[in-house]
Amino acid sequence: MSDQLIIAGFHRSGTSATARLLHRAGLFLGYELLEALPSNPYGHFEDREIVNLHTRILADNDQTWAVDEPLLPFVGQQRWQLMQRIIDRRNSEHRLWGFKDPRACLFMMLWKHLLPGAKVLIVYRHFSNSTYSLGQRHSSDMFLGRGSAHVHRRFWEDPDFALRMWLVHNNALLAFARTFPQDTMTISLDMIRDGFPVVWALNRRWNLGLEDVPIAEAFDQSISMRRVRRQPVSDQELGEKVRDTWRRLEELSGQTEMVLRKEVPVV
Amino acid sequence: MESIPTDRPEHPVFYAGRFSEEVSGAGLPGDHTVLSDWEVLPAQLASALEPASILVVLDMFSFPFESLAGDLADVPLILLLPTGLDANFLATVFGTAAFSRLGYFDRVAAADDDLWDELRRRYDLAQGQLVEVEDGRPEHAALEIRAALEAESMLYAPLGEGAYEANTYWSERGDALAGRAPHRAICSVNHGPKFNKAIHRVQEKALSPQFAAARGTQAEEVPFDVLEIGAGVGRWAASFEPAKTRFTGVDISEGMVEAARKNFPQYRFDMLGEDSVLPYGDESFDLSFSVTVMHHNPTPTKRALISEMWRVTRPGGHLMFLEDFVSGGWSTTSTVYPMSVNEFVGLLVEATAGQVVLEHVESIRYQHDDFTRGGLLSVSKLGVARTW
Amino acid sequence: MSKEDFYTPTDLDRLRMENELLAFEVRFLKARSGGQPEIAGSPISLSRMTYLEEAETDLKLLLRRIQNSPLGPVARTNKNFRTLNERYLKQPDKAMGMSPAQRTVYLEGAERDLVLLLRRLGRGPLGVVFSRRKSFRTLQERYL
Repeated sequence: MSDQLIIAGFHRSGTSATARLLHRAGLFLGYELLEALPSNPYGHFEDREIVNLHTRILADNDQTWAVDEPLLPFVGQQRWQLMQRIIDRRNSEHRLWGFKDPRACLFMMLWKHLLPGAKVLIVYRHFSNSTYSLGQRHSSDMFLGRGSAHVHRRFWEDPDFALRMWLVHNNALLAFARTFPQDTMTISLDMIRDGFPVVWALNRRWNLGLEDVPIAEAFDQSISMRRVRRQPVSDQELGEKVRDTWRRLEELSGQTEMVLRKEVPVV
Repeated sequence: MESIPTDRPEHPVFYAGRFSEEVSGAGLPGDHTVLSDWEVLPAQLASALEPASILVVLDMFSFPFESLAGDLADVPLILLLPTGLDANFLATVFGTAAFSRLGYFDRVAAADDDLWDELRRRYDLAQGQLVEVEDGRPEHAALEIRAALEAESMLYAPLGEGAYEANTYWSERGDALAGRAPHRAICSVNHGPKFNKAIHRVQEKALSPQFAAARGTQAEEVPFDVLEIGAGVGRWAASFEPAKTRFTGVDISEGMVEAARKNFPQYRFDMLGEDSVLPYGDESFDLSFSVTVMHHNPTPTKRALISEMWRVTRPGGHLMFLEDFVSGGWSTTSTVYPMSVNEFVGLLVEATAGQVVLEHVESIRYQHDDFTRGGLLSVSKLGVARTW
Repeated sequence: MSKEDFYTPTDLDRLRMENELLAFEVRFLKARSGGQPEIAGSPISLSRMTYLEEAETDLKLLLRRIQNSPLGPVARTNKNFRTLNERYLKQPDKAMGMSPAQRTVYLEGAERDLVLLLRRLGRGPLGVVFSRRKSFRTLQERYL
C-alpha cells in the first residue's frame, strides 16, 4: 500500500522550496525532475511526466499554464489512462510518493478521484508577492527571448491578469481543503520561513515516515522577499474577492498552527 | 378573472377528410381552416399548415401522416380517434404512422375513456395529452375541440405584476395553467402550441442523445435513476423508457406537481421548498438535469440548486443543464436573468467545488428568435461512491 | 431582485455572450477530437501559439548548445546546420518585423525544423551520446 502526498500551490508561492525540503526528507517526487532556471536557482522539483500530463490537459482545453478563469476541463480517455499509468508505476515502486506542480491546483479533484487516499500540502503566499514574483520572471524571460511572448504580453497588457490567476488557483485549493479537510494541511510560506516544522507536522498528522530535515538546509532565506507589497488592482470587485480568499487561507494555516501548539491529534 | 390572450391569433386547421361537408357546415367559430381529403397533396398541405397553430385530424383513415415531415412536424396534432373500433385494430393501422410518433405536445381526442386508457398505456402517453370529447362524430368533436382550444388561449396568466420573484411567479403560473393549458405553463406563456412545440423539438434534438449517452454506460438490467429540477408537468419524463427508468421530478408549483402526477402515475413528483433543498438522499440519481429553469432564478438560488443536484447525483453520474446563455432582461416582463456560459461555468465549478469534468457542450439556436441562444452543458461527477 | 443579477443587456453584451458560448463549444469540440492540428486558414489558438513560440526558443537553445559544444566545428561544416543557424540565430530582427500571418508560418517552420533536427541527432552513434543528456530527452519527449 502506498501513500501519496501532493504539494499544491500557485506559481511562485514557495512550493519549490517546500518540495526541496520534502525531497530531502524522503518524499519521492518523480523519475525525471525538471532543470533549474535562473529564477528558481534551487530547481523546480517538477516531474517531467506530471508536468507534461497537466500541460496536455490544459492544451486540450485550449489553455496554457496561465489560467485566469475557473476551469471546467474536458479530460479525454487517453489522459485518464496516462494518469492511471503514472499512478500505477509509482505505487508499485514507492512506499511514499508525490509530486509538485503549480498546474495541479486546477486538477486536484482529478487526482483525488484516482487517489482517494492522497494527502495534500497546500502552500500559499501573499498575492502581492506571488504576482510580483511572476511579473519579475516574465519580464526577464521576455527580455532574454525565452518562452512565449504571447503569454508574457498578457501580463503586461492586463494589469489584473496575475491577480486573477492567483485567485483562481487559490480558490481551487480552498475548495479542495473545504471538501477534504482530513486530507489537507495548509501552510504559508511565512510559516516555513519562521521555522514551522513541516516534516514533523506531516508525520504527526498522517504518519508518513518522512525523515526530519532542518529547514535551513533546504530553504535559502535570501531567495524570497518577505515584505508584503501594495497590490495594484484595477477591478475593485476582484480586489475584494482576493482579500476574502487570502483571509480564508490564513484561517486554514491558523488552524494548522493551532493544532501544532496544542498538540491535539487531528481526528 | 381577467383574460389575457396569447399574442398570436389561434388558427387551428381541421383536416376533415371525407367529412369536410359536415364539418364545414357545423358552424365552427373564430379563425380556422377546414381541409378535405382532396386538399392534402404535399404542397397544398404545407401551404395550408403555414399559418396553423394546431392541426386537428378528424379523419385519421384518409390523412397522409407521412407528409408531416421537416418543418411541418412542428405543428402540434390533435388526433380524433375513430369511433366503434378497438385499440388493437387502431394500433395495427395507425401505430407506426401516427401513435408512436406522437410527442408530448401532440394530443388525442377521444370519446371512449377505455379506448384512451388502452392506447395511453400502449404508447406511454401522458394523461394531459387527452382532449375529452362527449361526441366522437367529427362535426361535433370539432366544435368541442375548438372551444377547448379557445379556452386554453384565453386563460389568465400572471405576467410580471410587480417585481419578478421566481418562486412566487412560477407557483402562480403553474397553479393557473398546468391543469388547463400545460404548454403555456411550461414553455412560453405568450405563445400558442405551435411555437412551444417547435421550441420543445429543438431542445429534444439536443437532449435525447445526451440522455442516451448518460444512460449508455450502465448495464441494461440496472434501472436508470433520473431527477429533473423544475419538472413542470413532466414533459421530459416522456423522453425516457418507462421500463428502464425511475424518473423523479421536483417543482415549486403545486399545480404543476399535481398535473405531472396525473400525466405519469408510474413516476414520482415532489414539491420543492423555497430553500432549494432536494428531498432526496446523497448519491440517489444517475442523472440530474434542468431545462430552462436555472436562467429564471437569481444567482444564490442557482448556486443552491446546482450544489444540491451535485449532492444527490452518484459519482460517475451526470448533471445536465439546458439554459439560455444569450438573452434575458430585454423587457420589463422578462423572467430570464442574463448569464453568459462563462459565468455559469464559474458558478458550476464553485458550487461543485470543482468535482466535475466536462462531457458535452452544444449551442442551441431557436428558429423564432435571432437573439436567444441556448446551450446544453453536460458534466460528470468525480469521486468515489460513498453509498452502495 | 438583485440589481447585479437582473440588468438589461445591450447588443454588445449579447454579442459577447454569444461569442463566449460559441468559443466554449469550439474548444470542447477540439478537445474531444483529441486536439487535432489547426485547419489551414483558421485563427490560431493561444495554446498553439504558445507551443510554437516555445518550440522556436527550444530550437535556438539546441542550436546554440551544439555550436558551443565539442561538436561545434564539425556541425558548422554541415550545410543544413549552417542554414538553421542563419535562419534562427543570426536574423532575430527579421522575425520581429513579420506580420502575424508570416510569423505563424515562420514558427510552424521552426517547429518542423526542430522535429527534423531532433530525429537526426537521435540516430546512430551520435544519438547514443545525445540521449544521455536529460535536456535532450526532455525535448524528444515533448516534440517527437
